[in-house]
Parts: sequence; C-alpha cells; structure tokens
Amino acid sequence: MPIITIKNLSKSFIYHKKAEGLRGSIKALFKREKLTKDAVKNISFSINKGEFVGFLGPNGAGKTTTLKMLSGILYPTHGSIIVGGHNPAKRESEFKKKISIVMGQKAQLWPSLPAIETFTLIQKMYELDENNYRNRLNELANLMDVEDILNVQVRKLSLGQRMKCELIASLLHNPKILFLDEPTIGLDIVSQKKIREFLKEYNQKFKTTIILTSHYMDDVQDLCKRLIIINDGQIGYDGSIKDIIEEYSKDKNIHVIFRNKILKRDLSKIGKVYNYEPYEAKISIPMEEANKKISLLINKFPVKDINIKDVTLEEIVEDIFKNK
Amino acid sequence: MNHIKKHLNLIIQSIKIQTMDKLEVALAFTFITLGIILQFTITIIFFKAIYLRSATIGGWDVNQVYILLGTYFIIQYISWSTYIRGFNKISRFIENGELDLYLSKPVNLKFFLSYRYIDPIFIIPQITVAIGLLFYGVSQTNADINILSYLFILACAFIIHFSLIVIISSINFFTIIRQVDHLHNTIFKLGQYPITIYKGFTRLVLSIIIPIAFIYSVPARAMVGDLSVKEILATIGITFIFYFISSLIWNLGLKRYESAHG
Amino acid sequence: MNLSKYTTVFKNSWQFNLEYRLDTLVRFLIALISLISVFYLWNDIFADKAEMLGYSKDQIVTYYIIVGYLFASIYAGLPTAQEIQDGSLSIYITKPISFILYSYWQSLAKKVFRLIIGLPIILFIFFIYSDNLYLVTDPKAYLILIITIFFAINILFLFDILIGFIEFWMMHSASIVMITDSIVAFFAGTLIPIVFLPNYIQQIANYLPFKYTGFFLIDAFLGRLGTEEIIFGIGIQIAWTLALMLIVKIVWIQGLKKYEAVGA
Repeated sequence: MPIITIKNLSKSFIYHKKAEGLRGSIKALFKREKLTKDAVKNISFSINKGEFVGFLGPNGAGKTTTLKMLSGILYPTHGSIIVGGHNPAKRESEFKKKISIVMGQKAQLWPSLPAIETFTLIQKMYELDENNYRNRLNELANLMDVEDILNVQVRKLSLGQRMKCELIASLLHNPKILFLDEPTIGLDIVSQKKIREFLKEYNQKFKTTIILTSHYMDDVQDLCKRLIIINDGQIGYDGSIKDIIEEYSKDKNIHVIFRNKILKRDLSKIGKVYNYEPYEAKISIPMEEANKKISLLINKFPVKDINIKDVTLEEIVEDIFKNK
Repeated sequence: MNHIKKHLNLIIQSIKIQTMDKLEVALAFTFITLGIILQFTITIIFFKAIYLRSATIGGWDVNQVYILLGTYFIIQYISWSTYIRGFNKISRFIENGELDLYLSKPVNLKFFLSYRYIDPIFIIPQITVAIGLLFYGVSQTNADINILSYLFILACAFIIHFSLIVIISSINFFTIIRQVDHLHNTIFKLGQYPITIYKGFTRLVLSIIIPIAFIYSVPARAMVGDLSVKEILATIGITFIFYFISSLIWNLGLKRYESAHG
Repeated sequence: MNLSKYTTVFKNSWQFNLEYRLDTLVRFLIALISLISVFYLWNDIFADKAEMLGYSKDQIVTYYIIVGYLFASIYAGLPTAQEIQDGSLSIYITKPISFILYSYWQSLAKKVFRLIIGLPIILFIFFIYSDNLYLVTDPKAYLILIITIFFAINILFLFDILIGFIEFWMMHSASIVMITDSIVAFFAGTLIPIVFLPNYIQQIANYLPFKYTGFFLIDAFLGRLGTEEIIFGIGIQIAWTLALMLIVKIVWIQGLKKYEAVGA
C-alpha cells in the first residue's frame, strides 16, 4: 500500500504579461494580458513507505510545485493526491503532524535565538511528550554532531550548522514523510557530504519516506534509489537510478577534438553524434563496438585529442530533458 | 547636426527607460506620495486646530506659521529626495562592504551620496503642495514680502541642514545606528514650531548647537522682512561654522573608518 | 486548544525583544524628543488661559506624556506579517499552528515588553516634572488604564495584521503602512486630543476604532469620564475587537486562496 499516491495531477497558474516598451507600461496600469502557465501537466506516480526518492528537473520544471502540492501549500488544479492517507489540501492537523517540509532558502529557526528555543516551540506545537522529545533531540543532535551549538544564536552559526539545525527542527516530531527542497543549496562540499550522510542514515534507521529535490547530482546519486525526472511539468523518467545508468551505460561517450573541420554526416558513420561543432564533437558509441569504432575514428579522421568516458548521470538527465 | 541628434536621442531613450521603470512601481510610489501628502494635510489640520483656540503661537499668527510650515516642508521634501536618501544608506553600505567600493571611486563620497539617489519625479507633487502652502501664507499676510532675502536665507538653511545630516551620518563611522532617519526626522520636527515657543537653555541649544532656528524660523522671518542685519550676519556665520564642523567630523570619521578597515 | 505553543511563542518573542532592546530605547528617545516641543507649545498656548475644553495645562501635559508612552509601546512601528512578503508563510501553513495567533502572541510580547521597559522612564518623568503634571491618585484609574490598554493592543494588532494582509494582493504594501500609520496615529488623538479637532473630523473619528486606542484611554485615566461613559467606551472597544476579528478571518481565508494561486 503506497504512502503517497498521485493521479492525474495538474497545476496551472495565471500570470500577467506586460507589453513591450513605454506604451506597454502605460497600458499595464489599466489592463494586462492574462496568461496561463501549466506548471504540472497530468502526472501520476506512487511512493511506498520508506522510499528515498529524488526529484530532478531544471528550474521551472514543476518539481517545487509538486512538492508544495504534496505538502498542502498549494491546491491542485486537477487530479488527486493522497499523502499518508490524507488529502493535503484539507490541511488537517493530523496530516500536518505526519509530514515535514524543509525548503532550502526559507528558515523556520528564529535567527536571533539559539536553536534550542525554536525546538521548544516545535515541541509545544506538535504536543510532543517531554521524555520522547528529549530523547529524540539528543539522538538527532548526536547524529548531526551539533550538541554544543544548540545554545548558540542561530545567526552566529555557519550555513552548514544552520542547515543541520533546520533538519533537526523538521524531524523532531518524527514525521512519516519528509519533503526536502534543495536542502544542500549554497553549502560547502563538506557540509553537503555530512548532510547526505545524515539523511542516508536517518532514512535507513527510521524508515521515513523522503522526497528530495535537488540540482546537485551527487545528492540524488548518493541517496536515492529511485529517480523521478520532471521536465516542463511532465515526468520524463520514473524508475531506479541503477536501471537508468545501466541503460545509458550501454554506450560510451567519446569527446573528440579535430585538427581540421569535419562534417557532421561523416561523423555519424562512427556513432550517434549528440554534440557537434566543426572542430569538436561528442559521439556516443555502443559498448561492444567501442574499440572497433574508436580505431576507425583515429584512422579516418584528423584527431587532435580524444577522451573516452562512461556516461554520467548528469548527461543522462540532460539527455532526457532534451528529448522531452 | 547628427551629433546633437544622437545626444537628443540618448536623452529621450533615458527618459523613456526611467519613466517605464517608474511606472512599473507607479502604484507603490503613488501610495508613498499619498502618504506624504497625508502627513502634510494632518500637520495643517493640527495647526488649524490650535489656531481655533489661540490667536498666536509664540507670537506668530497663522499666516506666519504657514510660511514657516511651507519652508519646513520645502526643505524636508527636497532633502528627502536628494541627499538624505544617500546618507541614510551609509549604515547599510558599511555593513555589506559597499562603502569600500564607493571609496575607491574618483568621486567625493559626500557629493556622490548627495546626487546618486535623486528622485526626480515624485518630488514634483510634494514640492507643489509645499510651495502652495508657502504662497498661501505669503498671500494672506499683511507684512511686506522680501523674496530675495528669503531665497538667500533659505539657501543658507539648506547648507546648515545638509551639514547636520552629515554630522549625524558621521556617527556611523564610529558605531552603527539603525533608525537613524526616525531620529533626525524627530529632531528637525522641533523646527515646525516658531522658535519663540522655546525658552531658556532649550532655546539656546536649538539656536546654536542644533541650529533648528536658523533652518526654519529664520528663513520664515526673512520672507516677511523681519530680519535685522545682525541676524543675517549671524545666519551666514552659522552656515560657515556648521559646514566647517561637519566637514571636520566627516573627514575624521572617514579616516577612522579607513584605518579600521585597511 | 493547546495554549502552551503560544506561550512559547510569547517567550521566544520576549527573548528576541530583549536582544534588540536598543530599538525599544530609541523609540522612547524619539518619543521624549517629541515631548519637548509639546511641552513648550502648550505652555505657550496656555499662557493666557487657565483651561481649554475642560483641560487644565497640567492635564494636557500628562495627556501627551501618556500618548508618548503608548505610542512608543503599543503602536507597532513595523509592518506585521512579514512572512507573507518573504514567502516563509508557506512553512507556517504546513505546521499545526494558527498563523494569526502566532503573530498575535509575537506582537503581544513585543508590546508588553515595551510597556514594561517604558514604565521606569515614564515614572521618572512624572517624578521630575510632578509640579507641571496632573497626578492621578485614584487607584481605580490605573486598573481601568490597564484594561483599556489591553483592549487597545488587541484592536491595534487586528488592524495591523489586516493591513499586512494587503501583501496577498499587492507588493510594496509597506507604502500603505505609512499611510495607515499616520491615519491611526491621528485619529487616536496622539497629535492632539480629538475634542480639539474641527467638528466634522471628530465625527469621522467617532466612526473609527482608533479613538479607543488612545484618546479614550487617557480621558478615562485623567478622570474626565463618568463611570457610565467608561463602561460604554470599553463596550465599544470590545465591539470593535469582535468586528475586526471577523473581518480578519474573512480576509485571511481569501488571502490564502490568492497566496496559493500565484505559487507563492
């Protein structure tokens, strides 16, 4: 029985457009053109309890919008959502206690107070039993290694420390489902790694369902078994990361630089050309033919430099974006 | 001929962009202007209410007070739309480090802050009502009007006002104060009333130490030709002295800031 | 209803205000500077009279001192509901807490904090200038003042958050706040006691709630009102509180719809 089910979910926004130039500015005072943006177009998927799912997509793809609908911040235009047995749009108190959302740029900790004070507020908000709360707080603080900074004013903490405390704040009430919107954005590499480690451990230990949106491929690759790629409001891929890498790994990527200008159609005899410039190209060749084709390439073309690599998740996603 | 055309086009284009930009936030600025006009109206109502019960304030009749208020608002609106905007930003520039950027430019900082944030458009309705009030008081009064004298003293008043702003802003080089603009608004507001209501030590302070008297009441009296030669000389003297002091303090503050920031 | 989450909001907000106590002190400094001109102005006006509209000179001075005290404490000075502007409202929507109540307890902590900080300052002034002031000796008057201040705080909060809700429909609502702040201050009698204003303006003032967040409080305190009038006045305060609560609720629901419609 999945814990999250989305069926035919759509979300459209109405926005205003201003005509160009001075005339447009004056017109805009009185009447503006109303346009509709379909941010999410008829998507469906379900997520099981304990899954760690990554949402990937370019800016404006609809992943944050989807997340906001899952958490009840936005109402869908069409379709149905069930999260933890509730309809998020109803914003029932019981529902709120089951979920938690962390949005990278928006903090819930009061900046001029120590984190512990906001934690107390959260305890009261979610009506957490004192003992349970204390135990949980200690456990989380320990896991994150932040015991000694809980009494320091939040604004005096580094970005990484702040994010750790924000995460703790979001997990104190032991939510069944955690939504993370760009949680490592703006952090240094070390902090990113620490937070990833924490999330991995947390998901394994507490079996919390976690949905993560991110720009950083490392976030997703490291943590998620399942990947949902959203582009332009639609799902481009929904499946395991292993599968998608394997499928794309059937090919090798070759990055060639030439001494003379080369025609694209000549190159396509070697393999699929997916990036082309007169002096430079990227070609994709099936794994089994790799050796043969590469020697052919070197012999028949004035190759100046050649680079052979496995396809990265980044390139796979980019490719999927392009195809949709 | 093409040379002139080109520059004319640049100016027109610039005005177009500026106007577009302003129209974009037209609504917000309309409300700000409304807010300012509202405060203006409320001030007038306040004084009218006083004059319902009392023939004079500090010996000044209602028309003289209108001249005083007109002067007050002219100074306030012009300064708000020019140098005050720039100087109010100093604390923010210091906090985010932008000040160092401006210090490295080949423009005198004081001058830069004075012209950089000029608001050319929305000052128009404000100045209109202020001058309107001034003219109203002038037209209603029986006294002999001396506009030349007024303009000269008003110019001195602006310099003194500017100097005070510079002095208050210099404090930022030593310690950061927020709510600076509320503070100096409140102090200058003491000048909305004829200086004659203040007595004793307070009167002295408001004449010599924070010369509100010379910024507001003295120009108002100049308009009705009420100033003695001694007082005119005193005004000129205070203008020079305060400009000098403000430059001193400003440079001192800058030096301290630069030495602390290396 | 679980009250402890809101008392925690109060506590945290109190700590916040303690941290920024300098801001509070500056507010009182500004009020004190304004009092200088008030003092001299009314001294001048009263030079040839003993009383005006039933006020003696020392009553007027006391009036303004309390106005200053109130203005520096229970009048907001900052737009309420900043969370709408910066989008962090989204976070509060997903939490089991009422955003309006959350804002209320924050605001309450701020105002009570200021009232308490301002108390020694006010008492100090009363002490020094006791010759020029009208001293209220009836202990009932102080009790009534506390009650009426409490209701005034509520009315002002409801109005402030209502104005804050404008942010749902319009950016730059900060400019509207400038306008409403002036109007509120004026019709509360902080500039001049309402009875001094021209008749038509007094009529307008009677239809607005702000007379009961300033002028009424002080008049009751100064003993210028009979018991019936005081009870009636408190009744009006309660009526306004209830009316504003209703309006706030309605606008909040509409505003939320708009908030989610634009994708926050």
